[in-house]
Amino acid sequence: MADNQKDFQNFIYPFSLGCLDKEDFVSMVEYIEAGGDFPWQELGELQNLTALLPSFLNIESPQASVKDRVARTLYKLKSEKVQDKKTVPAKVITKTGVYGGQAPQMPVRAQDRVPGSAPHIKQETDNQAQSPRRTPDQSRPSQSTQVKRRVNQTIPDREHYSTEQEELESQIPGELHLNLAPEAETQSTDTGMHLSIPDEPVAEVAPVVTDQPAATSPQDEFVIDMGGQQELQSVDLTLQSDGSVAGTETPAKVFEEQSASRQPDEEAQTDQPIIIQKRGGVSPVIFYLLILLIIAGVGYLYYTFNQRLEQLEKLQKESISVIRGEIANTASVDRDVMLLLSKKETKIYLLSGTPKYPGSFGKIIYSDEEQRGYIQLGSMPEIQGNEQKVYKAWVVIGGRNVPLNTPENEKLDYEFVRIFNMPDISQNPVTEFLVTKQAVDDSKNPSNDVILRGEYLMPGAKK
Amino acid sequence: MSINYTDLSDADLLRRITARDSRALEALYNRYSPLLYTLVKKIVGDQAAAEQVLVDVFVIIWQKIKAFDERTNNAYCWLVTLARNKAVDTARRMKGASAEKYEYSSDYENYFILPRLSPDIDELDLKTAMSIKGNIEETLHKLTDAQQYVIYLAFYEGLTQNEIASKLNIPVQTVKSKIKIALVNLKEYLLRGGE
Repeated sequence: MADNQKDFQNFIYPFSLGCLDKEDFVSMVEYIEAGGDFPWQELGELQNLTALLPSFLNIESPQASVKDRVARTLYKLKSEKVQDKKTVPAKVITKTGVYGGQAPQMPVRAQDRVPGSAPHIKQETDNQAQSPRRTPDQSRPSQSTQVKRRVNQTIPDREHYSTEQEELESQIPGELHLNLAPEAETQSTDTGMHLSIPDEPVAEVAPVVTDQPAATSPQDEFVIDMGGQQELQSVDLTLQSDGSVAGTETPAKVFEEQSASRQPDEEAQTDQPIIIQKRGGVSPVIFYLLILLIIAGVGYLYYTFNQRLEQLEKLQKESISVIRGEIANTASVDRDVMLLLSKKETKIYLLSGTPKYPGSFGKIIYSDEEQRGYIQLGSMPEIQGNEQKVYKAWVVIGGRNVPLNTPENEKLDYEFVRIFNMPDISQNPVTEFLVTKQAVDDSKNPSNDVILRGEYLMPGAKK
Repeated sequence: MSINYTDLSDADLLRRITARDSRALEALYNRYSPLLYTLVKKIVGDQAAAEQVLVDVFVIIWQKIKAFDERTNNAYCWLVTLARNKAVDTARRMKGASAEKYEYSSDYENYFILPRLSPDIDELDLKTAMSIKGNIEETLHKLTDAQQYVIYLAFYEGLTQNEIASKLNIPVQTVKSKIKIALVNLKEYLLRGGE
């Protein structure tokens, strides 16, 4: 550790001279940021010493245009930032719909975080449906209750069970479900069969199944196992020629519950009882599923909503920061304009709209002494987004067109915009100012679409 | 009441730039551009490239002024180091892709270009620096040729210690030692006031 520290302390010489290899530089920065012990004062002295090295070079000044380039670059960046600010919220909203699409920037999918998400629920459903613990005594009411229900059932209840059964069918494939008819000659809503339950039990059970309702025969009997561990009633149902099934309740021993996924004709061949799923036992499952779904849904909504809120908050902060910057900059420009106007030698050149644009106007405020000025335009005709055109200010001096290098992507309306590249017009008898609308990349000569025109005559000069 | 920017200190100008005062940036440009341009041009060697680097430097100043630690009150060192780092990086990239393996980005700029001044650095401004430049020159000439050359290669050529060692065909340890001795001597000569 001590050696390590010593190494880093030796780094301060190349670090201050700026010749550390990047890997060493990164190590050193990490060491500093980790709060490593450091001879800060010595480093400060060396940094000052190094910074003094260029002081005795033969100083030469950059060209005047470099300053303009700095200003233009900053204006351009400002414009781009403002444009970005305007477009960003729309993009984000599209990406982070609360209900719809998944935000790509979300690090973890919502369904991975919510315990009761859809895949889990599906899995649970399958497990429950096939669970060996789902024994008849757990899922069914007593035999007497079943009989009572069958006798007293009404059609709405039956429809309710049918709905539940349809749901189960979609979740437990391959298992045959039949509806219990609550009373004789009641039409099944989902199978098209009629169930007929005689009052007297039938002594002998003859399980026969056919899949063709039209091919009815006396032996076309249909045994439905009610299941249960206690003494149960079995219902004998006979498929009638018109498609109805005649059924009879009869005491029976316990039948083993099993899946009845075979086709009816197979049942007939194998004499296996067909099991009716007890609908009353399904309800809790559905209930739990619904609860889980609701919890999952609420969790997902909460998560996505929170994400959205965080993003909006972040955007808001960024916007505030940009606006603050703009306000500060505008205040700075305003101060500068006021300062210019307070100078004795500052001139104001008025620009009037041409006959085509009578409502437009503008002014140029310029100080020859400070070589600084601003242009302000008002009521300018709108430039459509697809026009690819900009306003451009020109000075026509001695037949020569000099662009004032105003920022090309500014709208300019009522803002004071800094002008660059103003030629010396103080000695020129007649100077004309133009503001044109022209193609973005055309900056050599003013176009014919002149919006504003102004003129400066030197005192005593004639046009 | 109008502000006379020419009367403001370097650090005050930077503080005003932090408050997004563009006039302060202009005043800073007027004050520092000759020195920074001279330094940058010496490093990149080409006028057009030097001008572009100078533009970039002032854009960085405007955009990342918050990286300047106002408590140091040392605008001079921050600006010179910033311009030097940017110029060296540009020169290395101009030499070819192999010279600089990292892609230039805002993060890269924050990490490698923006100066990391010691929090315990003394105040220094352009006026003071210009007033002692004679001493610096005199002191520099007191170093051995080898020491001067190593400092030149490091500061103006932007070579790292390993690159200097390769160029001079000497061990890296020797380069490290020469750099250390050169800087220590410079500091001592300056402290002794050019005796």
